[in-house]
Amino acid sequence: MESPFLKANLKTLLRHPHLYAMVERQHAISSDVSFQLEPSRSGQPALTLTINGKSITYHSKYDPVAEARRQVESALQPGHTNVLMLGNGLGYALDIVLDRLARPGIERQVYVVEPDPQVFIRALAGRDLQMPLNDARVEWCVGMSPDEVGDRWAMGLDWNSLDALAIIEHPPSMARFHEYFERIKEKIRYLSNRSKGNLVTLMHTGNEFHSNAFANLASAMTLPGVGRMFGKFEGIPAVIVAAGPSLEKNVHLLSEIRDRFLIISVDTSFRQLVARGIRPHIVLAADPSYLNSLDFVGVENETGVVLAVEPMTHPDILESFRGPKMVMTFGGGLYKMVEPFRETTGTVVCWGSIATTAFDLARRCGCDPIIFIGLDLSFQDGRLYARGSYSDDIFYDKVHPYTSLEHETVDYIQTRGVHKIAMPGGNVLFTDQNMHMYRAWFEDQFRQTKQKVINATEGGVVTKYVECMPFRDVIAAYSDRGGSIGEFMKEVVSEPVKADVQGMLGRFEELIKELRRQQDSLRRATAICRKLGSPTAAGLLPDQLKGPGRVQYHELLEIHDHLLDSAEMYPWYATHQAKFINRHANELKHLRSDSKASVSAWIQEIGLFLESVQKFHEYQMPLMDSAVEKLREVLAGDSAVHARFVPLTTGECR
Amino acid sequence: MASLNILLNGQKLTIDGITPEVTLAELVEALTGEIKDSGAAIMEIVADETRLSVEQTDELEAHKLVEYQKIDVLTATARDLLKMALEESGDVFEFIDDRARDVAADLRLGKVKEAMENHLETLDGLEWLSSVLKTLAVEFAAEMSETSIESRRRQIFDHLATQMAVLQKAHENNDWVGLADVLEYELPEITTQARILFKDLRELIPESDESEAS
Repeated sequence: MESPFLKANLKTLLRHPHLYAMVERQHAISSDVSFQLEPSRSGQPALTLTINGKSITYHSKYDPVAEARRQVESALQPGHTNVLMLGNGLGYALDIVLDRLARPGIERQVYVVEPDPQVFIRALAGRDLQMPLNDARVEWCVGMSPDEVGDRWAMGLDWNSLDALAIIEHPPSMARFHEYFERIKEKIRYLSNRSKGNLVTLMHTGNEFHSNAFANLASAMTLPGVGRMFGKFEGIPAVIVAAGPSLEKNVHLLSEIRDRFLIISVDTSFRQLVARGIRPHIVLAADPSYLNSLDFVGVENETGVVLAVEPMTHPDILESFRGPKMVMTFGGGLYKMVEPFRETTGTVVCWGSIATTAFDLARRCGCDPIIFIGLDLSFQDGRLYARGSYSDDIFYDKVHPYTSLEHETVDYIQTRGVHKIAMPGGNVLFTDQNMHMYRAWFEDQFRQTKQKVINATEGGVVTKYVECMPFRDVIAAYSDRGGSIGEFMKEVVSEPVKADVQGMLGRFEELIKELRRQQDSLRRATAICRKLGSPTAAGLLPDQLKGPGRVQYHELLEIHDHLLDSAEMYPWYATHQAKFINRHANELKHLRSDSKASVSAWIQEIGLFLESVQKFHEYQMPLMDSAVEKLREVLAGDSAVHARFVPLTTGECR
Repeated sequence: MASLNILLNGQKLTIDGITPEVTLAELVEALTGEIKDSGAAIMEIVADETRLSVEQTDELEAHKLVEYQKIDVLTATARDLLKMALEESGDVFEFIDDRARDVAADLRLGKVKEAMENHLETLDGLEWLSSVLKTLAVEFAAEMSETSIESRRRQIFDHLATQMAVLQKAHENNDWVGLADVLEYELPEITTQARILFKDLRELIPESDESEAS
């Protein structure tokens, strides 16, 4: 395919190795669709497809840019922070979207879904796509299945920055792949519902996640990753122990399969297992809150159990637990910074509930079947969880002489149990908004999982795409399966971790220098604001400024535009100042579109921005200093928690 | 019958065999036979103060001549009709342009259902234009023969026929962007040229035609 653009676009495409590989593969594949790229009347290329003798116009043959502008204008409003583009075609609408969204924007702010790789190849051949391909705001989903798109969306999207989502459709693609896009819409609708909850959570706990990630940095560097377990349990049954009320029905049966089936416990059910004398092989923790860290109170000395944590977990858990530890990652936080400096950590999915992570871990380990107990995802017999979980402690704190633990729990259920579900046997169960969404996630994932999934909860609401049977029967059915799990887990955690702690330390020292450079620029910008804020200059329009005032004004804009150019630092700032940056982006748009906006108006808005950066620095600097200190301790071998690592040699760096 | 006056375009008319019990529909039928060789067609009946189109067959069948004192039968030739079409064309072109623009806008946003609701009206307008352009060649042959109008008429007619075929093909293929392109970019060219053609033609029609038409 001869084209002036293809070569340059392909060179840029190397930024996206998976896309590049896909394009290389697709080049050789013949298609039953023929594609005609022709210049439109306005000069830009237009694409027409012929499918079974029928001609379908993908872009206007007269003015494809004007057409795309209307499509974008009909969907993208000033309040939209994120965009999902269903069908890309030659990418005209994408150009307009990127132009309209405030810069520097957010990573993966725009998801581009193009189901037909051949169309993508024509876009590479027909237009200069170097800018969108280089733009970090764009996440490309080309030739993926709807489920893969959904997973990419769920894993990669910065939920913290998502406020309002615009969906921009390319009608010819929508018509051609109707079912495909319907499936994606269904997934995204469900994910977005979930995201609302996530967003609220992150607005409140985003800083907690971030602070914890720094506090746990040394552990994230030196603990063995759950990636070591991936694919090592082919054909071994796994039991995931969730903390639903039905757990009490069959939890005792776990003692019969200990050391034959891999037992994965979520944090909330761990105490209950220990209380019954049952030790899981691995317990997972990922909650950043102090409250969830209470799940580990009283079980800190369980040295026969491996604790696997996400680095965003509350640091108290890591510090107090005396048993062997591993690390896992959800792909966020400091993962991208840390991963090049250590052996593979192992990425797992988290869908709000740690039980979702347990399921994904079992799936990635190759376990088959994957068996759930305690996965009610509904209120059962007036209870939220199996007895003994920390939620009982929380409710117990509320109890006074005129109430009881049961009363407090029922009160909670009556307030939150908004979803009423009629079960096949005639039972009616109640569940809350979150559990309702977890249920949808599990059933959706079960459908996509190649291993057999069994729900042995003996209660609850999870029944679709899963075989439901009593735990006793499951054990009998798989009595001939299993292996020496305990021995294997000992090996997994005892092998020293390959890590370049010195390299990581060097990177952090560079970032601290960058932070200091930012502080210098911040001081300079603040001084300029003060000067330009004088009554003589402030009332003028920017174009009316003369001499030094004009130069300083432009210097101020320059500092504003580039102060946070650091690829690492900007997302941290965006997390810390999430509310401000959304408002600031809108204010800047208004100022830019107002030809009468005075210097004073600009100074005021930039001043607020400088204040927000100052607040961020005040928060971030101690985190960085503390992280560097801990890394130095690790290097010096002073750390009691995580000193077992061997240097990652050149060439091993991932 | 002594009190009933039957007029044809305001001129008194005597018709044999018409009794008071005859309905208006039967009158129309009888007169249609009488005037068919003149090339004219009955358009409207004014019965006392009531105006009835020939298409209101139910009304015409429901009323008898005896109910009225004066019945004026208005006729028009194909040429008259064309002249009226030329006079009213401004509004029709505006309607076609508006509809075409709306349909194209909906189609570009994927609102196919909404677009199709209006598209039928656009097609009606285009059929009307095609029919007028075709008939002009016959009825105004004399006026157009010694000017460039006929060649322009033929060009517009051919262009319209081509684009209507493209529209039909695009519709069959569900090629909505292709359909929108024709509606948004080709039709305005056609209606603009047709507007100018019709204006030029109106100026060529002799004054005497005015009275004939009335």
